[in-house]
Amino acid sequence: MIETEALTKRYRDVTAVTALDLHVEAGEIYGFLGPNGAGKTTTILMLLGIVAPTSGKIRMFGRELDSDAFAIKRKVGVVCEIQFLYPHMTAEEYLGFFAELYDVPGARRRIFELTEALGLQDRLRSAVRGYSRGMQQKLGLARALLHDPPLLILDEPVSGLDPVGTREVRELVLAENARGKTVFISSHVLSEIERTAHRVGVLCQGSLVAEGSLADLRRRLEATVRLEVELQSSSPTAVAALETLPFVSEVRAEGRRLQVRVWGERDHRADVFAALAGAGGVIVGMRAQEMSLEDAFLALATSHESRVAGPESPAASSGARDS
Amino acid sequence: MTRDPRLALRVRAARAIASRELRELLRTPDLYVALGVALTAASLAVRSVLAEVAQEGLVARASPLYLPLFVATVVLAFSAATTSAVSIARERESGTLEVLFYGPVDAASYVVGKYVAQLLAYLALCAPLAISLATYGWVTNLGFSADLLTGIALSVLAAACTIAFGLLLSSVCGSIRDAILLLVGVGLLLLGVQGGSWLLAGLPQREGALGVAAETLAAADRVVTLVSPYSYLDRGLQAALLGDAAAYAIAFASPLIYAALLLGGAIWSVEWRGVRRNEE
Repeated sequence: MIETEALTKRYRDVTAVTALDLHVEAGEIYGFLGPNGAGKTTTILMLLGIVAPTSGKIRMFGRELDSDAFAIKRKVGVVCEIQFLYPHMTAEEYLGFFAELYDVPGARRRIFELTEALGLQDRLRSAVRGYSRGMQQKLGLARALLHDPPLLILDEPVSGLDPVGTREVRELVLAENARGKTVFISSHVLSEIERTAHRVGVLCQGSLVAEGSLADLRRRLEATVRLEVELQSSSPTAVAALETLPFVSEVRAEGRRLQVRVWGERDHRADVFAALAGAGGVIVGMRAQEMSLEDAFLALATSHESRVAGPESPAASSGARDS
Repeated sequence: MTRDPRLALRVRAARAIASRELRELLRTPDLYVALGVALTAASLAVRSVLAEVAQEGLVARASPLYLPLFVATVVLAFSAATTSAVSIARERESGTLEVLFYGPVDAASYVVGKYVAQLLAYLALCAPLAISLATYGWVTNLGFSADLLTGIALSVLAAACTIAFGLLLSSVCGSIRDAILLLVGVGLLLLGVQGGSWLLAGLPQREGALGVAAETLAAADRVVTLVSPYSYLDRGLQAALLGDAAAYAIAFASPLIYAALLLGGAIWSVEWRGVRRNEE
């Protein structure tokens, strides 16, 4: 659906995006992550033909963007962080204008359906200047969905929304994806990406440092799994027994609570349970801690920055592992 | 014959933009203020003609209402140039230009859409202008000749030039303030060249540096006459009054070529300058 090849953007002596190879499959929700200034917005603007790449290629819907940007952009719905609306227009006029622009059949009905789904129907005839940030965001989303495009590009779509609005937008995005739409979503709200995206790409300093499913990312980042074990009482013999196990890399004891790091992708909870029981430990509870997307994202960002900064940099010594 | 689908998409985009822009123009007071100022200026010009009649006992003019017509069309054309000059810069400054370009809009469809809307707005003003001039002629017994109707029609072509001129200036600006400053700056430069040339040409002694300055300004004045949209307005009205067929042809063709060149420049400029806001 979206494919970039060695996509690069340089502004004088600053390289905003470096040799970016993105692959967004049809029908998926692709989360585009990165810290501020990573080059996410520049990438999106290149995908939209707003900013011309310095080099590289963009293919959308199997066609080069340059070959027919006009027709390709008709198939894309876009929501950016700031909506840039016409303040004097009502929502009805605003959406009506874009319906005319995109030649939307049955525009009135479509506008009504969308504004109802987004909870804007009561303010349909109010000037946009009186809208809250969240309502403006929803109106932007309605505009993006108006022509029922097969591809949605969303840049910080829940920015400025309250929890209810955030949930509404999330549900809408998931519903549109269930209807077959491909969604390319850039956000700094990692929990949102975690809840919606099938795959993510992590951009750091203009480079794609990781791309894959969330499970893949976690596996790549964390070759060890952390187990939290709670014993009935502290037991030094139990700790010693765990340290002899070949798949255990580290054991930390804080009273009757143990933190056990185990190697490999296999589930070692049963082995840990047996070893502890054999050493006379009584287990009250045990759980495996999964790396959150936020942990993964921070680990990748730190790792990339460390590599770029070089080995003598202080950041390099504290960087997380990026396989 | 197969119609080019890309052209059809561009036409649709231009039509949607023109339609929205025209609604905006008709909704805001600017257009009606401009009409009010133009008609007031025209009525003052009628008064000056009547004063001349009272003083001289006759009017030595082919059409006594030529001056009021010229004054009114200059005001309206200037207003159209100002509105156009602000138009693209305002959208760029507010960020709405960028949002339009996320969708099926390109520089050509956008500029053409804006242009058509401004031209239609000017056309909408021609009817009250014609009615007002006819009323002035009837009330004052100065009459209303067919030449004046031709003059009004030709003023549309002149307005086409001033609108294209305004859009070209607007296409390079990132804010309303910049656009107005540029319009005023260019206007003052054109007036300065014409005024300076006229002043120096009137001097009895033009030796040495003064002579060089006079010649330079005279040359610059000829260029200004060629590029200034207002000179097309004057030539168009003169042609209408003279009833000269060749002058008519030139009066029709030259503004069209001029406007097309300026619009091409504006389209290129939007592409070159980009659609993003200044701070981004």
